[in-house]
Amino acid sequence: MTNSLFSLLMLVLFVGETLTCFTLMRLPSLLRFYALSSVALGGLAIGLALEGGGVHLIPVAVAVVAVKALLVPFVIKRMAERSGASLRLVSSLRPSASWFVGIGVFGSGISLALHSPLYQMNNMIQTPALLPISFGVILVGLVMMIIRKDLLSQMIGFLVLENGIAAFSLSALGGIPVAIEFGVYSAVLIGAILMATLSQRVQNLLGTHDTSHLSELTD
Amino acid sequence: MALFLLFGILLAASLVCLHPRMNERALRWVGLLVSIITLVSISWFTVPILFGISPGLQSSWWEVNRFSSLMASLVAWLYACAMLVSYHYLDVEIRKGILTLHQIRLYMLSVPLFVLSMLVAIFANNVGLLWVALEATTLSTTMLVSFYGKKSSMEAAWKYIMLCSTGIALGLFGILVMGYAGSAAGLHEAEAFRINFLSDVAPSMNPGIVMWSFVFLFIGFGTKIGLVPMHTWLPDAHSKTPAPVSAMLSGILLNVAFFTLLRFKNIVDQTLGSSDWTNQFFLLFGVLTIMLPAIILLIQRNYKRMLAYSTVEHMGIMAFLVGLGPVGMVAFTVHMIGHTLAKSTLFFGAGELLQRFESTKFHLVHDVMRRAPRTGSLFLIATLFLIAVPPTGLFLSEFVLVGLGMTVSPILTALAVLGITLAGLGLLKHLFEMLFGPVVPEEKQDTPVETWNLTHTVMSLQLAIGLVFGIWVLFGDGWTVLSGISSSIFPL
Repeated sequence: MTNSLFSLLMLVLFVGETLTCFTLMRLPSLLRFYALSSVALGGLAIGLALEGGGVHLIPVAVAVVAVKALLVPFVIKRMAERSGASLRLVSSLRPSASWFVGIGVFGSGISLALHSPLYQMNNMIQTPALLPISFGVILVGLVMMIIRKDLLSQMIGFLVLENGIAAFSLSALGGIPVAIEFGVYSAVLIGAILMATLSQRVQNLLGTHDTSHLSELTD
Repeated sequence: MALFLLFGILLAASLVCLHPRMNERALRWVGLLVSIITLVSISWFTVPILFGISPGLQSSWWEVNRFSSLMASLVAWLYACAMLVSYHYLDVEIRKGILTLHQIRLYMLSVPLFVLSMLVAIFANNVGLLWVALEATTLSTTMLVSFYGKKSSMEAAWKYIMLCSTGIALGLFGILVMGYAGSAAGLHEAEAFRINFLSDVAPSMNPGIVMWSFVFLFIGFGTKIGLVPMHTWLPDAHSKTPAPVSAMLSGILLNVAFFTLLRFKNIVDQTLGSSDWTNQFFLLFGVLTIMLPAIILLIQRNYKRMLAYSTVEHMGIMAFLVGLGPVGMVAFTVHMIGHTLAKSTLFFGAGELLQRFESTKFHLVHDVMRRAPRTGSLFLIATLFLIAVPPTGLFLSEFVLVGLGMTVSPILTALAVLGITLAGLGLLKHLFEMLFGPVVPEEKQDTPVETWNLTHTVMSLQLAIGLVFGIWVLFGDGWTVLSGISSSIFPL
């Protein structure tokens, strides 16, 4: 797949935009780059379909773009605006340090994938180059959820992680059955709506979406 | 067909609650009625399969065997009990002005969807459907965790949705890795997502990939089960939901997640040709999951959190039992049933205490035996059930844990026994302080005279069934019947 220029471009965009998400500290730009990385993921599905991966990947690509690039960012932005949430996000890291950490985490994910038994059997893998990248993106999403200190970026961290898993399914399995794929995207969409609703209620209640204010429950 | 009809009824019940002309009384009646219909339908559908009279069903999307029938029966039973208790519980909260019609609507909308998700997860043969259903159990209950709208409820709900969704997402990764192993073993796209097909090709799947898959499945679904150290959301979420929902979360949802993990364990064991590798996970995490809450139980200050930590401890016991092999699996089944009955009874009682004393803090609830003798007595009996006093089912399962555990892993078993003892001491210490301790000036003084209500009836019924169940497994042929049921997922 990576032989095709289109797929290669989508792959580069997917990685670049995901890593940029890791470093951004303002909600509109973070949502924009998350949406762009989701478009690139949809592009990867189309690239795979064009190379004989199956026409069922076309509706999957449409669903990825519709849910992850349009609906989810729209819902999060709308909820944040309605609650008057600060567009400035909170992180344990400075933006410049985020680049180093992000690249380090992404590299660790790739290294982990290359040493995994999955990659050793790469004759079975539909798109070998995407497999280590999906590991890297999953790890970036996980670390983003840990180091970010506000509800909105933690939510986007989760969505980045989910993008990594979707990339893995494209890479290893050439996508999953359409019915399941739609079930997963529905769950992602409903999850994002619930998370956004909760963050809005927290914002209304506490006047902030900084997670350091959510530390009442201890033993 | 019968299943689809039931799923349709649950979905319709949920949607009906959105009708603007439904008042709170009508909403409570609909909730109660649908739970009873569910109990009758599930019993009619699963009892013949449960007792081996009918052979069970299998299709590309569904699988109904003896164990899943048992799980579904427990879900339906607890749903009916919880809605009976809810009928009274919500009525009190409305009369006190704590809840609004909007909140009752949310409650009655969410609970049938939650039950529907659990039933789909139990009966799913397609792992994708199973995953979606398990995620739906989290999504349908998130708003119930934030139900009271307090700062602490919001914190609990946020932790709940983020940690459980992340855990289940990692579980999805594990499912995809297993699907990949299935594809590599010759399964076509759709077949690689069916549990029976994965099970058929398990011996020819790549062991390295399957082991990788299991690690992610264990972390992912272990988060949903509440295994230490992925448990941090559980005490918060289970203590913040309304008591009848807490009973369902602690009493049955975790068992559903456990059942899901066991279905994958079975496939991994077949690939590896032995259960030793996966059993090590269950033994080690089982001990951790017993020890940590046991220590926290000793210093606990809140009785709903105490019950939630006790649930974590019991998940540890169940994990340890699974790690002991097929006989441990039968004990797991006994423990699961006993825990479901005892823990839900305790949460129902906790709801009664909260409504009467208006606090969940130990230092603000005293002399319960005199001021609320019915709730106090039932709470005490349920706690004795929970700490495995004979003749309860939990006594038998913990007896197996010690007896069999000592032959399998003496050191881990000794640690597990230490943890179980500490947890029992912690529970009794707090309970006696609450039941018999003198009233202090800071707490609510003027509690009204307690009268017998619907919650007490449900608690008594559950305890009576728990007692009969204990006698049946200890002295009757319960162990033999449950051996047959557990062998439907783990052959003896």
